[in-house]
Amino acid sequence: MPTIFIDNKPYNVQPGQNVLHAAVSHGLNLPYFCWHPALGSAGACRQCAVQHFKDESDTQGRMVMSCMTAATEGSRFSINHPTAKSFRADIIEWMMTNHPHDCPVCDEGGECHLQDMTVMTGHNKRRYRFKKRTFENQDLGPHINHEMNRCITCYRCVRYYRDVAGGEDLHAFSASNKVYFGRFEDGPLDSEFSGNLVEVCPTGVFTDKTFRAYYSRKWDLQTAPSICQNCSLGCNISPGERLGTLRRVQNRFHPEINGYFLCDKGRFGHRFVNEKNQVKVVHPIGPLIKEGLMIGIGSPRASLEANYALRKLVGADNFYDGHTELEHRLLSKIMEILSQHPETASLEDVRNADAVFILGEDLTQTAPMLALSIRQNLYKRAQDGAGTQGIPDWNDLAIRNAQPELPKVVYLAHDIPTKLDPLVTHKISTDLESIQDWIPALKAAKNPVIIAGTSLGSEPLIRMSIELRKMAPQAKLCYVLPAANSFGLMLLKPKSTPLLTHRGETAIVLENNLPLSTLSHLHNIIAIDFLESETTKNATLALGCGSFAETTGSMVNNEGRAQRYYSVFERREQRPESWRILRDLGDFSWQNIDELCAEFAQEFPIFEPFLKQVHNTQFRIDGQKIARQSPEFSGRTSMYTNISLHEQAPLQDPDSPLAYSMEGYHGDMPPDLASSYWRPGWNSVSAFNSLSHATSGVKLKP
Amino acid sequence: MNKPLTGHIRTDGEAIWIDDYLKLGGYQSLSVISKMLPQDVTKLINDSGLMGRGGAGVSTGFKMAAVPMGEKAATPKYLICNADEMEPGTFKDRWLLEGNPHQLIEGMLVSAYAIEASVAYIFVRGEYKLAIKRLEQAVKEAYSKGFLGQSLDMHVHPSAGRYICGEETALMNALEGKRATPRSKPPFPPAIGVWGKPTLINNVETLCNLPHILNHGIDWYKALSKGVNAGTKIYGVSGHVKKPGAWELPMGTTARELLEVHAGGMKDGYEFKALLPGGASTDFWLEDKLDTPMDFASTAKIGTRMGTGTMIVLDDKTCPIGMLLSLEKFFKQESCGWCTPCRDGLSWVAEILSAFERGDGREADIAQLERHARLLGPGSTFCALAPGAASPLATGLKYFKDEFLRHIQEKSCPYANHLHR
Ligand SMILES: Cc1cc2nc3c(=O)[nH]c(=O)nc-3n(C[C@H](O)[C@H](O)[C@H](O)COP(=O)(O)O)c2cc1C
Ligand code: SF4
Ligand code: SF4
Ligand code: SF4
Ligand code: FES
Repeated sequence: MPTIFIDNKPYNVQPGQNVLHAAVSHGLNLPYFCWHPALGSAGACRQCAVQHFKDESDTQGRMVMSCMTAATEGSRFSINHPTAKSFRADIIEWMMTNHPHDCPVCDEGGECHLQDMTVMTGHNKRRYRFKKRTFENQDLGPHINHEMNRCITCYRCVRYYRDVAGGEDLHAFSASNKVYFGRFEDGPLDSEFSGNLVEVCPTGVFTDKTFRAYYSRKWDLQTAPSICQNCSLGCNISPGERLGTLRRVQNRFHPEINGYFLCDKGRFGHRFVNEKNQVKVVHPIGPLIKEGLMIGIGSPRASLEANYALRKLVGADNFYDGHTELEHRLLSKIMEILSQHPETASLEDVRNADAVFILGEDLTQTAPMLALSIRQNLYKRAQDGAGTQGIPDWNDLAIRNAQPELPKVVYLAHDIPTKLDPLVTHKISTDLESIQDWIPALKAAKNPVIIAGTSLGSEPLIRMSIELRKMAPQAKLCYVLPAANSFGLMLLKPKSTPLLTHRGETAIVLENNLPLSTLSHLHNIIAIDFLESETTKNATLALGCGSFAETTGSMVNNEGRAQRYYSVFERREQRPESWRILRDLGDFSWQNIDELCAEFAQEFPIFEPFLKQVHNTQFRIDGQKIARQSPEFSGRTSMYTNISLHEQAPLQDPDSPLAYSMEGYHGDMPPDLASSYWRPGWNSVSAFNSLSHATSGVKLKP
Repeated sequence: MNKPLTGHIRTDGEAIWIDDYLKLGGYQSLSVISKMLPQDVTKLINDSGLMGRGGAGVSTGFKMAAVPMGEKAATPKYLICNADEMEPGTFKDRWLLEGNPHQLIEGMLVSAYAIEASVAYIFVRGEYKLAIKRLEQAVKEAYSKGFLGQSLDMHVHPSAGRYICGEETALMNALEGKRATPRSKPPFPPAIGVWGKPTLINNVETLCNLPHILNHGIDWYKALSKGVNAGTKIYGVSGHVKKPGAWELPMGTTARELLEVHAGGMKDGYEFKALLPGGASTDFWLEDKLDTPMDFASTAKIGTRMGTGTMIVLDDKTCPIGMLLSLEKFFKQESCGWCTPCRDGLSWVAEILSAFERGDGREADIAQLERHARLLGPGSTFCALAPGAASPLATGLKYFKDEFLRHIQEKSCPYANHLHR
């Protein structure tokens, strides 16, 4: 690890880092705009200026951009040097010449990187006495709001949208101080990853339109670490709630899964939590009187805990899979494969692979972040190529200009055009007739990934994945599964969907909407779900449960990684976890999730390592629970006075080490418990720079 | 032979086409280089002392030698002629392009041979319609005679029209169809240039020197000059002088000679006040610098720059602040918008200068301008456009302080009634 000196203090830095990255990783207050940990350096904003000294005796130094300067062993810099310091204030002053002075009505206010950097440089007095330049905004569709007057021309948006995510309909137009970031004309943004603009843009130009419709300041949102429910990848998210409604979802960094980004499905697909057609909660629920045959149908979108409780209630012999029969067959095959070849690929493995073979998955649609990971993979290959010409990994502009020849990485078998096609080296049809052509590349690859999945319902494709794996023992497997907890459900060994023909059966259907053909055979349905569906409407008894946002549970993603999501909030009219409903139906004694999990681990030792590692209800930091609300959270005593003048007692959370309160622990914490990034002086997502980038979750083997 | 670049250019405005060019000894340098190794051509150019005529005055041989050679070098290698000529007050390349396009093609063939480039582009200012037409015609002729198309392909690429496209790396982005913003350096174009390949880029006038150096040798070439740097130079004068124009003269001719002899002195009724020696991106010179030989080394010695060597003369009837305003407005408008000091700083500068012109200048504005002149100088921006804009601003503030104050006192432009404000 090289050591550099900043203001005469030594700092250890990661090899190959630039000075800015090194400084902010150490928590130093060095302002910047155009650099971003996932975009690299552009040298455009000139905000990150520091003084660079030749050696110890050099006191003059020379001003350089820290983002464009390698942190090499023994090199010496100063953040506090008056030249660089005043230049950084000058930069903000220039940006502010045209910037609106209305933070209080800006959506970004309170979590704005520009606000933070402005305060950090100390610029506070307006000297520019002329009119501000103004722009017209565009309607960019239902997800992204556009307010161009707030732009500081850092170019992050286009560098993300075009260069990272491969979008084409957002660009920089015009020049001088009139550079305009938008579309050629009004219209919804095309990219499946447009939502990341909200976090990439350091100002209030691109903000979350769905959030704006029911807005709250960051400090007034209650947040908790959560897991995306919208596909099987298990991206880490941070939902935010206020006044009993879920307001938005933001990215939660996970180094091996989603990194800095989410797909739009993940970011904007959570609105169902606020839907009105929720199944009524029944309380209290007495034990079920068992009569005749009772079966349970589990769910790939319900937690492990709920599925386990159902299995326990009906017995292993009567516990059925909530997937379709075809899916069950495919998943069983996948589980069989993975029991012999458990090395599954994470998204980070996909980003680093030297060859990726995709069998019949249109990834942009079936597992979007996997598609983005493949784009990121090709950028890494470009970094490698440019590296051989002496260009450091962070010098994004130089890498793109060098246009190194890319190795052949992406092989795809699919019969329809997919958005990844332009990146594909070799495309074949799913009849796999020309798969032979892939074999040399597969065998030659050092760390290839083979991707298949259930979306086309094709067993031959899954069989081919294992054939390929046998030819290349170094390859990792990656399966795209039907739903967020498909893997977890399969680990509970459900039986394939039953042929339901007997009268008098009772079926407990857990968080699942069964096809009508199945429903019509059932005579006595007890349905547990959050939103009304055909199944709850046809049920003898429908019991309302909580959504993922108000319950705590565990899920296993497509790589077999078990992760816990924590309830973000409790509604005033509380909605129970499905496992609590099933506990009452079965007259079990579990008082909290730990007690259930203790039994669960005994019965399914495979989950033991995960349940040991997960932060359970007993976990405390400095003897405290972790606060879900910020210290600045406002309105606590008055926010529900429209319902009752009495101040509500803080709700208790028996299932997690988190508290529904502003009181509790706020400092550094393990990554799987952090849901809101903050450092003194850093109120935006950029605070994450100096926080832990460690991994989390435990990989399980079927 | 003392005007090798322009001596043959016709005075009737017509170009020298292929037959005439051949009759005048054109394309002879190709037989000279055919007997030389590429590296020896580079060495010869290096020894000739030819310095780039695009404004920065970097040794042409040095740049050629930086292009990777041999088996391991990436291919194809590119040669680009920078014919974007949008520097205010500069019209020297246009003369060469319109008058003798084959001379440029021949020069490019020499350079391409030396660096083993197989593709060449002439990136030409979009408004130079006649030059574009003639270049296209000449390239066609050179193909039909077999000069082009054997080892070198050549394309004429009219610019979509921004000043920044003349900056060599922004030019490459423009050529690739990207936004014309400069690239980060290092890596430099000889290592990684257009389409990621080794690229040499030179000015029109620079390239036009090459055939003559090959034909006549370096002693002859050096003897053309009366200054420190070798060869001739196309100088130009514009402003309220009797005979504005451009002339090919020995390198090192003094500004005074240009002004008084070649341009015929100031127009009647006008007094000399100051000049910008080489386009808008250079320092103002007062009377005291007029006897400086106009070459790269002599001007550097007195802490200033010759730039393109095409001067703009300021007289006593023209408002210096009005002149600064029109220069800075140009720079502001042409800022590519990539980096903050240039993008937002030049806009501020232009706003202040406009305020002065309409009589709304204030004392605090002068300090603000001075701050900008300092902050836009070398080292703080991404490319050399802003430092170029800072040169006339810094020296203008120094030399015309009184004029600024008069604008404040009189609450209007003191030159306002004059035609040429
Ligand atoms: C803003 C800007 C505009 C420029 N415009 C031109 C131009 O129009 N023509 C030109 O030859 N060089 C121009 N240059 C200089 C080029 O970047 C480059 O130095 C030159 O083409 C190199 O050629 P030379 O070595 O033959 O002088 C410009 C530089 C800057 C910073
Ligand atoms: S819109 Fe945002 S990200 Fe894009 S340039 Fe402006 S401030 Fe930067
Ligand atoms: S890729 Fe899947 S898990 Fe990740 S954010 Fe998108 S829908 Fe959610
Ligand atoms: S100084 Fe900056 S903004 Fe100005 S032209 Fe150069 S790169 Fe563009
Ligand atoms: S962050 Fe370094 S120049 Fe923008």
